[in-house]
Amino acid sequence: MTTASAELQEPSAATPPTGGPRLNARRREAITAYILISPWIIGFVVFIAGPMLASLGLSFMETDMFSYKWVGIENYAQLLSFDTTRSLFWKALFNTAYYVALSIPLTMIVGFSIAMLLNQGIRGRSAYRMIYYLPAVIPGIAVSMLWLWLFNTDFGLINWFLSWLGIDKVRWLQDPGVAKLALVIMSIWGAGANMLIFLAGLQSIPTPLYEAATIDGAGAWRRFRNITIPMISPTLFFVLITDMIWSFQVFTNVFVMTKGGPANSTLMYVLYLYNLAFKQYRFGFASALAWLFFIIIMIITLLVFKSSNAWVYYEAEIGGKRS
Amino acid sequence: MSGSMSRRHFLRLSALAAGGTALTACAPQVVEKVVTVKETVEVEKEVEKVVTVKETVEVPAEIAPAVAPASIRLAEGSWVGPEGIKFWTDDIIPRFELENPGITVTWESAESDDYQDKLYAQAVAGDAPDVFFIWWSGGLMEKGQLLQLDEYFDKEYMSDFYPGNVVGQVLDGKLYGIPKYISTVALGYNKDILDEAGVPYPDGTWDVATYLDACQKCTKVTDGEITQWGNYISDGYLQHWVWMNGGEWMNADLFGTEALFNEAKAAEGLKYNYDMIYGANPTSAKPGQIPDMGWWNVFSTGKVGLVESHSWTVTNYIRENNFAWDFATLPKGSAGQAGLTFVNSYSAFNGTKEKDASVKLIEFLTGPWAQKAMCLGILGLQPARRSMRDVWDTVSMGAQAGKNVKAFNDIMEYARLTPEFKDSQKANEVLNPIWEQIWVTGELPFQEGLDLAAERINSLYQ
Repeated sequence: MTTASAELQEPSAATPPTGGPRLNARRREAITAYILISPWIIGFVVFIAGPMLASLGLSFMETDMFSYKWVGIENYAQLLSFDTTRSLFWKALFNTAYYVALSIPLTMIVGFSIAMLLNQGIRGRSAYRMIYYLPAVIPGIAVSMLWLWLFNTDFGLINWFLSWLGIDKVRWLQDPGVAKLALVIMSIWGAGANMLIFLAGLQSIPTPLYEAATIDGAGAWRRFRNITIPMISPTLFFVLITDMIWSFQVFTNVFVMTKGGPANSTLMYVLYLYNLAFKQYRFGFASALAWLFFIIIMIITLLVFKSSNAWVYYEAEIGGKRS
Repeated sequence: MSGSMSRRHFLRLSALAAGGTALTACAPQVVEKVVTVKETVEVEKEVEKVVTVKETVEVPAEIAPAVAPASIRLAEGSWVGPEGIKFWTDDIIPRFELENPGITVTWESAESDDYQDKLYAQAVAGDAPDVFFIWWSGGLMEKGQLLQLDEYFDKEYMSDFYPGNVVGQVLDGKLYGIPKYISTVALGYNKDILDEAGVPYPDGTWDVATYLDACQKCTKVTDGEITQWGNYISDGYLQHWVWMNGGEWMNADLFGTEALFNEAKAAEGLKYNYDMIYGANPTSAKPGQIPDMGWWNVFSTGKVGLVESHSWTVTNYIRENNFAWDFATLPKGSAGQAGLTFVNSYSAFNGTKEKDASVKLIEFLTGPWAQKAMCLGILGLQPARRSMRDVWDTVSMGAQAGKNVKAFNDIMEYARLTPEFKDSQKANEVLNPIWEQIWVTGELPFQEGLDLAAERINSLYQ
C-alpha cells in the first residue's frame, strides 16, 4: 500500500486520539475541495444567482431603480397582452424565432460542410482550419461594422456582386422586408466555430467502420448516412443546443447595425429587453421579460433534449439504452 | 570655510525660501500654453490651415484658488471625432485648471449614443461623474439625482439665458442645470434641388401651402420610383406644427397632465406631415426608403430638398455636403410662426463629494469664454447666452461660410420648449409605442392613433 492511500484511511477506532479533536481524511478532503471551488461558487452567487433572484423580485415590481412599487403579476400580464400598443413582446419573439429558425440550420449546414471538406486528406488543412475559424474570434462589434459596409446599399460588396448578376440594389438594412434576412445571412459568419467542433467529431469516428462498410459494398452516400451521421449525432446535438441558446440571445449585431429598425423589423428579444431597461428605465417590466425568456429557452431546450432519444446515437448504447 | 551648515544658517535659509515662495504666490501667474489656432488662408480655393503658436496666458492673482483642491470628473462629448475630444482635453479643461489651481478635471467620454443610459446606471450605482452634459436631465432631475444649483447661480446670472431653455432646468421652482447651447430647428434647403425644380429659396415668408408645394415640386419620380425626396420628416419633433396651426400639445407649457395633440387644430398641423409620408403623393420617405442612419445624415445624401434641422448640424453640413445649401426660418402656419427648442444642460451629480469644485466647473463651462470657444471651435454650437448672439450670427463657422445661421437665433425669439408631460417617463412609455405605429410602421390610422395615445396619457393623470 502506498503512503498516499494509507493517509486516506480512516483512523482506527482502537487508536485513541492524541491531542485535540482532529478532522478525518474525508472531511479534510471535502474542506479542501470547497476551498478550491469557492472562487467559482462566490462568483456564481454574487454575479449570477444573486442578480437572478433580484431580477425575479423586480419582475413583480414597477421600478426605475430609485423607487419601487409592488405590482404583482401585472408586468407579466401586460407583456403577454396581444395589444402591440402596450407591448412589443410578441413582435420581438417572432423576430427572434424567425432568426433562430433560419440561422441555426444555415450555420450548422455550412459549418458541417466545411468540416467534411477539411476532414479529407487535403494539403494545408491546418491553415484552412485557422482561416475558417478566424471569424469566430473577431469581436462582435468589429464584425458588425464590417457587415454594415458589406450590406451598404450604394457601396457594399454584396450589392456590387449582385449587380454583376443583373440584380437591382437591395436595401439590406433599410428595407423592413429584408433586414431580418440580412441578419440571418450574416450569421453564416459564425459557422467557423461549428466547423471546428464538427471536425473534432468527424475525426473521432473510427476508420475501421468506413473500411468495413466499403468492403460490404456501401457507397459514399450510404457511408455518410449510416456511419457519419449517427456517429456524429452527439456532436450535432451539442452544437444544436449551444447554437440555439446563443441565437436566441442575439444582440450585438442588431444593437450596432439596426437598433431594431427599420420599423421594428429587427427588434430582437434581448434588444427589446435592453431598451426597456436602459432606455425606458422600466426595470421591473424588463425583468419580467427576462424571466419569460428564460422559461421559453428552457422549455425549448428540454424539448430538444427529449427528442434526442430518437435521433442521437451514443456508442455505449445497448438496445436503445445507455449502458 | 567649513562644508557643513550650522543650525542658524539652515533656519535663515529656510525662512528666506518660505518668504520667497509666499511672495511668488502673490504675483500674477504666467504660464506658457500651446494653443491651436485655425487660420483661413485664401489660395486657389479656400482651405483651412492649422498652425500652432505659443501663447502666453496670464492668470491674474485674484482668481487664484477660490475653492479647496479637488479632483472631479466631467462627462462630455463632441460628436465630431478625435479632434472634438482634443477640444475638451487640450483646450477647455487645461484652461479651467489654469484658472482654478488645485482643481483637476478628468474627462470621461459621453460620445456614445447610449451615453445617457450609462449615466443613469452610474447614478443608480452612486458613481455618476461630478459634472456632466445632459439632454433633458435624462429623468435624473425628477428622480432627485441632480445637485440643486439655486444657491450658486442667482437670477442675474440666469437672465442671460433664453427663458425657453431655462424653464426646462427647473422643477418645483428649483434650478438643476445651466443651459449649454441652443438647439432649435430651422429649415435647411438644398439649393441645387430647388434650382432644378424652379422653386425660389425660402426667405422667411413661406406659409404652409408654399412649403407643401415646394416639397411636391422637389420630389422626383423615375420609373415609378421616388429617387429624390421633397423633404424629410422626423416624427420625433413635430410639436411646432401643432403650435403654428393654432393647436396645443398639452394643457401646460411643461409637465402637462392632459394631452391635446388629438384635437382638431393640433391634429390638422400634424396631418400635413403625415400626408407627406403616407398620402397619395408622398414627398417624404417611409422608413427604409432612403438609407437612414440618423436623420441629420439624410440631408447630406443630397437626395432631399428640404429638411428641418438643428443648429448643431451646421458644422456637419459644412464638412459633409457637396452641394449648395442654406437655412431659413420655418414656414408660417395659420396661427403664425412657431419654433421648437430642446433642453440641454450642465448639471452636477447630487452625490458629488466636491460640490464647490463642480459648481466652479459648471460656471466656467457656461461662462462667456467657454461659450465662445464652443461656438467658434470645432463643436460649432449656438451659444446659450443671449449676449453672445452676435458671435453665432457673424463669426461662427456657419456665418463665415456665408450661411444664414441667423435664422436659428430669429426662431429662438418665439421658440417654445419641447413639451414633456408630468412624470415624463410614464407618459413616454404610453406614447412611444403608439407614436411609432402611427409614424414609423403605419400600422395605426392617423386620427385613431392620436386619440388612443391621448386617451392613454390622460388616464395616467386621472
